[in-house]
Parts: sequence; structure tokens; C-alpha cells
Amino acid sequence: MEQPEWLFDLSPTAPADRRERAFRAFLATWQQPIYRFIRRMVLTHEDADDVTQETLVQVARSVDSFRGEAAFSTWLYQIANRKALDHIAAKQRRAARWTRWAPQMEDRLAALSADPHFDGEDAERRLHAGLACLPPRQKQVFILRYFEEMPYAEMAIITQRSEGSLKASYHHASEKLKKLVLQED
Amino acid sequence: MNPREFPKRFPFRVPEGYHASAAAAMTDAFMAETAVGVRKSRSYQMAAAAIFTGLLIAAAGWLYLESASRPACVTFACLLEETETELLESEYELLMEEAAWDLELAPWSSSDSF
Repeated sequence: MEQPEWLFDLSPTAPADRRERAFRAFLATWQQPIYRFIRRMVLTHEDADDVTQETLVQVARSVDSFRGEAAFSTWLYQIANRKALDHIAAKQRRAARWTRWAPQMEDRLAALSADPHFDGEDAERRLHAGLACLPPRQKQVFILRYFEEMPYAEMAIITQRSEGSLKASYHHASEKLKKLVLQED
Repeated sequence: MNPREFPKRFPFRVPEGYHASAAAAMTDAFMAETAVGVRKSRSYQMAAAAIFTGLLIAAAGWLYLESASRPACVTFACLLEETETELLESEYELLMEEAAWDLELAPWSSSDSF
């Protein structure tokens, strides 16, 4: 499996200047794609910022534990995905302490309308509000498949699920989204 | 609406200069951790090396003094005698230690009780 040139210079055993160069090269390639993936998962800029920084720094620090059996990008998405799901679960637990928490389409639409960092059209607003209402695992499957255009085999490694169950999740997510998006028309 | 017609564009903005400042913050965090890690592991290595050298010197000194002060045992009887002497010596040390302990615990040994 071919890996990026800078990958092994991230190791703690590499000299500091090479390590820093490698980290900058790593960020130049992956910072924005991972931010976009996480932003779609967690929705707000503040949350995406936290999760992205945590993911990228952790990946770079633990590069020695990367065994190279899969592509580096698969490993990176696996960690980003887990971090985003953990973040969503923690946020849900905090919210559920006070109320019976379940995201509602209207609340999400209102939140996106008020978000100064959202500049989508109405269809995009409805799509992302709908996405925020899906169960986290369906949302993750939809984002990986639809926006990241990832093959099911790679998604299976990232999510640790079978391809069959991913296909079923994608189908359910699409159907729910269709209903949620059209509900507003 | 067919799911294939869902808009694919990324409709979120980030604050101006966000990616550059986040990259700088992450680089600082990554490199700071590395420097601390290297410093820590170097100081641990130096401390371990110093302790090991000290132990080595102490062991060599003890062996030298032992061999200089006693004739080497060459017979079983001599070895037995030496072991017995060592046992008696250690028993004596234990007794003395216990006595000292009792003295310290005795109420009349404490200056407060006077």
C-alpha cells in the first residue's frame, strides 16, 4: 500500500524540523477535507473546529500505531468518524440530561437560518437540517457515500460494519432525507 | 426529489483566516508536545543511566571490600561456619533494631513525657 511521503516523518523518532515539515504537509493535504467531513457531521463551526483539531493532532501523534494495511486516508477517516460520533453522543447526553432530546427539523432549520457561517440555498438548508435529524450512524453513512463518494468497501473499514448493512443504512437515510426535505415544500 | 438530486455543494463558510490560524495552533500543539516528550524521555534516560552507574560502582566496591577482608572459603566446613556467623550477625542486628524500636516507643524515651 503506497503511503504519502511525509507520513513516516511524523513519527516521534524523526528530527524536529522534519517532523514539523511533515505535519505542515499533512495539514496542507487533509485539514480542509477533514474539516468539511466533520462539519457536515456536527453542523456548527465551533464543534467542527474542536473535533477537527483533536482528530488531526491525535492522528499525527499516533502515526507509529498506523500499520499500513489500509490507505492512510482510510485510517484518518476512521478516526475522524469516531471522534465526530463521540462528540455527537456526548452532546446528546448533555442535552438529554435536561430534556427529552431529539433533533427536530424545524429547530434545525431555524438554527441554520441563524447561523452566520451558513450560506446555502433553501434546498441546501433543508438537506443539512434533515441530515442533522438522522440517527448519527445513518448520517455518517450518507455523508461518506454521497458527499465523499467513498466505495462501500472503504466505508466498511472506516465504520467497522459490513457492506450489506451500509447499503441498507444508506437506503434508509436517503428515504428519510427525501421525506424530511420534501416535508417543507 | 431523487436523492441523486440532493445538492452536493459545501454550503458552510468558515471565519476569515480560520484554516491558517487553526493550522498554526495545531502545529504549535503538535510540536510543543513533541519537545516536552523528547525532554522528558532524555531526562529519564539520563537519570536511569546515573542510577545504574551508581549501583554498578557500589556493587564493585562492596565485592572488593568483601574479598579483601576475608580469606576465601575453600571447604564446606568453612562455608557452613561463615553462613552461621552471618545468620547470627543478622539475628543480632534484628534484636538490636527491635530493642531500639522499643526504646523509642517507651513513654519515658519521649521528651514530651518529661
